[in-house]
Amino acid sequence: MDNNIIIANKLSCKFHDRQILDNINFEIKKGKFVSIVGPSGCGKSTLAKVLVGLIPYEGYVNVCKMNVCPNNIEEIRKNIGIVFENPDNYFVIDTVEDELAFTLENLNKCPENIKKLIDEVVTYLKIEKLLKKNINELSGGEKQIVALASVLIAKPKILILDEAFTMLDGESHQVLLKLIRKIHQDKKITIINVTHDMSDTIYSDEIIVLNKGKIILDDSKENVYTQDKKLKTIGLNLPFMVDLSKRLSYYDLVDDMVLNMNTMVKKLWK
Amino acid sequence: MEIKFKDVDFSYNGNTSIENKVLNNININFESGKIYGIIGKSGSGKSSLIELINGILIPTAGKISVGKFKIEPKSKQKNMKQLRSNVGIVFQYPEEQFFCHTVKEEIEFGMRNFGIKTNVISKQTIDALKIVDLTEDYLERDPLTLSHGEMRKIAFASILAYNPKIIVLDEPTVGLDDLGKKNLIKIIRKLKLRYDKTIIIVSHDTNFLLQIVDHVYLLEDGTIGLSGDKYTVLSNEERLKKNNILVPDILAFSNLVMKKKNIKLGYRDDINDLIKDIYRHVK
Repeated sequence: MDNNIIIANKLSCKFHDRQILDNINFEIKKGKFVSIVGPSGCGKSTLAKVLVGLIPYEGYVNVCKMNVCPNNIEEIRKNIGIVFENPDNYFVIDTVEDELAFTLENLNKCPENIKKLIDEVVTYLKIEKLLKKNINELSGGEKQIVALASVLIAKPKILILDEAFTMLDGESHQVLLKLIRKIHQDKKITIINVTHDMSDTIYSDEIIVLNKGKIILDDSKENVYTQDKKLKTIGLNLPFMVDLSKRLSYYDLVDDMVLNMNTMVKKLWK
Repeated sequence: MEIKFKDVDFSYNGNTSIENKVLNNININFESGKIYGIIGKSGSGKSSLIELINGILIPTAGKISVGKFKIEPKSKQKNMKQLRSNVGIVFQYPEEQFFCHTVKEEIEFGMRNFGIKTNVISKQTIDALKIVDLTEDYLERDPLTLSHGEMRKIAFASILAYNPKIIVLDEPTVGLDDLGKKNLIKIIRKLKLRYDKTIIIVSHDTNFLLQIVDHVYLLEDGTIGLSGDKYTVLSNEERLKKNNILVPDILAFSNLVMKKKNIKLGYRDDINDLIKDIYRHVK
């Protein structure tokens, strides 16, 4: 119980007459990488927004040991960083450096400290070259990394990604996904990855599957991957390597789940 | 309907000091009844290429023929109505372009614009809905209250309703979940097999392209970098990587087996066939 950084109890959410979230219960442990997946319209983005107090709800939600209510929202938001689908929607200033400083100025940090923190995050994410650039000059992938930087700089305890990979092309999609895994490993922060794409779940510890506002699976990644029939009924496909492992195991060619392509080739052709 | 690009150049601000050449000496033939994929990183000229097909842009050199219709540097945009009724472009996030109160008005708008006879409009509306697997129940609904996937379908139907012979889809899978993609593949196959359309798909989703296209063009800095059947182009790891594009998973696996074990599995577009190939080689 003490280890839970997020607790939702009998959480419901209505929009006009539609029940978006329907009496859901879950807990997320501190430091876990959790993916929340489901088909379009299942309520996953609504759920992410409830956690940061952007949407009214019924029931009980607790984030970082605080009840999500108007009195606590400011304090809760200091602990949560959220990256959305389209970075163009939330940049406010021209250059990358000023954008990063903006986050910190809002948190009343002193100028020397701001400089130090910017240096730190920029070095960590290896975006020194982008620092003086105008945000409009950046590619989609670079913009999303800057968005991530502007969130990480405040040292959040929880990082929420709300369809953050959707607009990126193949290569930058993989770069960002691997970067998130690195951040999770290095910084030990809790990651909540909201996505409609099962292949974005391969680095997570746990997966929560939502459909029509209800949780239909909430388990370790490995256990969720064994439920392929259930996933299929709501239109979700297994990630390629999971699917391949599973099909090869029917023919007794491999005996466990292999997520890495190199390892798979080595195993098959010993 | 066939589309031919002959030595086509296109520049923004042509013949000025800020001329920006986007496409350079493009030669392409798009045949009817075939599905083409166009890949390339942002800024490679993909959007300009598709906007040349229906005369939104006019080439600065060379000639484009779309069926009997010719587009040349001296062509005037105002004479393009007949061409445009034959080329339906579904842009990225088509749902953001809705402006009517009901699905019916939205789908009928294109047809009225192209002067299609009133007595066939309602039949063609229903036919278009059928192609995208929606029923007549949707006609009176407000498009903005529909789900993402449904909005995409309505946007697609509003193009199909005026029956263009050429269909261009710009990044159709962005934001679609697996089910949405599966439905889209079904619709596109139907259009190819039953309606003999020429279909052009611009996309960076190579897993999706591998399942559906016949031929792929890779655009590199405004020229055709690679052209060939889907397996040849989409398995070219080195060139795709240079352009920020991922090789589809199935082909990447075959490539890796070739590289590490020097075993030629062959290229497939279905995971079941890949499994059979692996089985044959391992057992």
